[in-house]
Order: sequence, then C-alpha cells, then structure tokens
Amino acid sequence: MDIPSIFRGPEDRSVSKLELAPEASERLNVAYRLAQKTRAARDAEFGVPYSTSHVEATSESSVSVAREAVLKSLDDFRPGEARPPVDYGQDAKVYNFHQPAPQTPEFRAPTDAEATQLQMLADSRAELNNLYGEQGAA
Amino acid sequence: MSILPRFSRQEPDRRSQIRDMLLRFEAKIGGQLFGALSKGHDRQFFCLDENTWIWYESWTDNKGKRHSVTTRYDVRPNGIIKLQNGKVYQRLSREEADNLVRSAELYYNRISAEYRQLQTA
Repeated sequence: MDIPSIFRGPEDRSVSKLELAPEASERLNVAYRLAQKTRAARDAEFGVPYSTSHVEATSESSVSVAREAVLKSLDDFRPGEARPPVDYGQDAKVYNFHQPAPQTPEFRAPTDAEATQLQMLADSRAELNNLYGEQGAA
Repeated sequence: MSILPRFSRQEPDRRSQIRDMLLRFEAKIGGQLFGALSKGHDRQFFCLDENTWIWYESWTDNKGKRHSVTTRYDVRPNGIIKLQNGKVYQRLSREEADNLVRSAELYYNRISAEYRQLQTA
C-alpha cells in the first residue's frame, strides 16, 4: 500500500513514516481514550445495557488487543525508545469494567410469615428424614 | 549559536501540520463507516481531541443549494452533550448514545488498521 496522497505535501515536504509514527501513535491513544470515555459517559447516564454488555465488553476487549498490536508496530519505527511491557491483565480489567455490578443480597430478618413457612419446611423435612433417611428426603 | 531554539520554533509547526494531515485522514475514514453516500454528499466523522467527536455532513438540495451541518459531541464524565451548528446544547437519547459508543469502537478499529497498513507501506 502506498502512503495516501493526503500525507504527500509539495516537493520535499511529504511526510515520512518516521515523522508519522509518533503522531499516529499519539492519535491512536487519543482515539482510544475518547472511545473509552464515550462508553463510560453513556454508562454513567443510562446504565450498562445488560442484554448487550457481554457483546460490547468482548468487542472492547478486542479493541484493547488491537491497540497493543498497533502501538507495538508503531514502536518498531522508534527502536531506541523503551516501552513498558504489555499488561496482559488489562483485557480482563476492561472486560470486567463494563459488566453489571454484582447484586448484593439484602440481609434482613425474616418476617413472621416467612419464619412460619421456614419452620414448616424444616419440620416436614425432619419428618421425611425420619421416614426415609437423609437420602430419601433429598 | 545553539540549534535548539531554531529547532523548537520549527517543530510545533511541523507537528501540527502532521497532526492536521492525520485528522483529515481519520475524518475521511470515519465518514466511510456509515455506508456509501450519493454524489455531492460529503460526510466526515472524527475524534477531535480526547473529549470531542465531530460529525460533519454537507449536501446539495434539489434546488442546487448547498447545506452543511456540523455536530459536536462533548463527552463528559456524566453524559454526552450534542451541539449542532453551534446552537442549542442537547442531551443524547439512549439510542443515540448507544450508536455513538458503537461508532467510537468502529472508528478506533478502522484507524488502527489503517495506521498499521501505513507502517507496512
């Protein structure tokens, strides 16, 4: 693939790959952050769409993988510049970030009616145990 | 005389020139994400900075009059605000916000692929 004409300036002012690499890398980072912020803003205002959260989280995860691959390929043009190692745990974090928050059970004392029902269940189970033993009641 | 002052004076111009080229490149790619357009219809969609999406559309009506709409999406921590042709701030509907989120991901995936191809060009 040739460098698109948009990067060709007049005479010697064409952009070289070496000039493009750091700027392209920066643009990718900006676009990545904006994509993440867009999702976070949508979730903050409307909540995570439960039915699509798995699909979206998966695609977000693939975005993250693509990002690492592209940044790595861009780095090949700056061999002297050190990069921090890729955090492979990041995908898992991104994936989990958009899952619905786990529902915390509400602990409370049973009402009288619930307590009576529970007691009846316990009594009938004890009766079955007496008649058929543990396995039969299970 | 040190070369640094001269270099530092020139560098921002060159960098901003390259950045503009990249923005135009992305805007063109972003405009293709939403399907084909009729002749005379122009669409651009791009990430302006890390808080702003821009959607630009221009077309010619039946009477030959040219129209254009620029929509700016300001992404804030608690929601997204839309501003069209510099008038009236609006909050996004759920559906529009969902569409923007998907577009943002598509945009990122497409420009990633394009930049990768540039490196191998």
